Amino acid sequence: MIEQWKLLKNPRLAARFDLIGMVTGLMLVFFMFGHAMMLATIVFGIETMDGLSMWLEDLYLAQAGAVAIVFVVLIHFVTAGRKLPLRVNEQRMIWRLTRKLSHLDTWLWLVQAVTGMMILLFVAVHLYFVLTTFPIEAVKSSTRVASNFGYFYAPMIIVIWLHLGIGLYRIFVKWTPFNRKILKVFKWLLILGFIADSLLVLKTFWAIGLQYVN
Amino acid sequence: MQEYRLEEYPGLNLYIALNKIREEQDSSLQFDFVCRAGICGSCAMVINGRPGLACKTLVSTLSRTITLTPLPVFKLVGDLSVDTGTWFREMAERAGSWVHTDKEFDPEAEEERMSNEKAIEIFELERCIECGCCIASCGTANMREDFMGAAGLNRIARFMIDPRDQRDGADFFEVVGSDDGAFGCMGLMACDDLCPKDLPLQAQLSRVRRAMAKAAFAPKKKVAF
Repeated sequence: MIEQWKLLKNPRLAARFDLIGMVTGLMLVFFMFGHAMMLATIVFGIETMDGLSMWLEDLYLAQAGAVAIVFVVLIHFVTAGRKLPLRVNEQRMIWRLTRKLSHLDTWLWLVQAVTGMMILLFVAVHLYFVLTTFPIEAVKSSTRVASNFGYFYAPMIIVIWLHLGIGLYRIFVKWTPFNRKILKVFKWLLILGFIADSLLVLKTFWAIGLQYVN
Repeated sequence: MQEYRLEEYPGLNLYIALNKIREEQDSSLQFDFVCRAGICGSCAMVINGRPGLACKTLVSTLSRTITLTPLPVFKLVGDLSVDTGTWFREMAERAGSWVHTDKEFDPEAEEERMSNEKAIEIFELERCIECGCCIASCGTANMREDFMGAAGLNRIARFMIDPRDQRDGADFFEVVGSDDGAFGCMGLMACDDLCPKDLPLQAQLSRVRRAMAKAAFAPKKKVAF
């Protein structure tokens, strides 16, 4: 006897989904590194940031990049999110296990799952405001931050870097035999370092924006 | 939940404590044990939320109130006793947990030699005592009953590195190249942290995952019906 559903199953699909989830995750990690570095140019002044954003727009990199990133985020959500507990029973099981186990990596997986959902919302709102006020300009961004949008970006920064740091750590854990103790140190350095950097950049935007709002 | 009170003394471990409770307070208390030395894996249970072996756990390392529950995932026999045997037998059958070879066995012939390093590497993975702690602490295994867990993937890794096993990447892919096998692992690594025998489970999980990803992109075998 043959279980017929197995005939319909593509045995290579799980492997492909897993790899696509990892590759899109890595692409988003590198995008965020680049994004953070580009935003950090505000520290060197409004002209520096505007020069960079003009260069990106002249080459249509900003416009094409935004569209590409939306696609990559959606593909990543579908492929990486397929292991999320969607049924109530699964959610109860994982919550019960996580609560009782007192195991940091299990807790962090839960954090990654929740921050993943939150990022979808944050990115949607962020992209709406950026794309409807194109082109990107330092003063425009600063005034947006200073007109209370900073309270939106501060938690967004924490959520994104947490998700990214934990995700990158878990890619290494799942695919390489590297020592986890060392990977854990790198994970926290990356998360805390980039949160500090991004909050500092946000503060700079806020300070510049306040001059224009007032 | 039943409560028992017991006076602690130096060197008391959970296994002894449970035996004292059964002898002095409740003769109906069910729990498993065989070796009393962390070798058989029978006395695995959830100790204050974390799977572990009763015989390897000193009461002095725990809080004053100790909560013991049976391992999840496995079928419950009663109290702290679970049936890990059925689960491990099914897993072994699925994994094809024996050396696959088309060489005819000659009982008179000298055993085929392998390097000492290889033998040690295989032995390291053979140390699994099938206690079920990795399965009980695994997020995926708790949610999805078909997942082979770290014990199953460790078993596959053991045969992957065995030079006597003639199975290739495509053969192993048939067994673990799915979400029930290598790609079901979410990388929570409680298995690696809580294994009572300190098996290098992370290294095996990643080894199998890499091999299966490679096999997924290898040219398909032609199968004639």
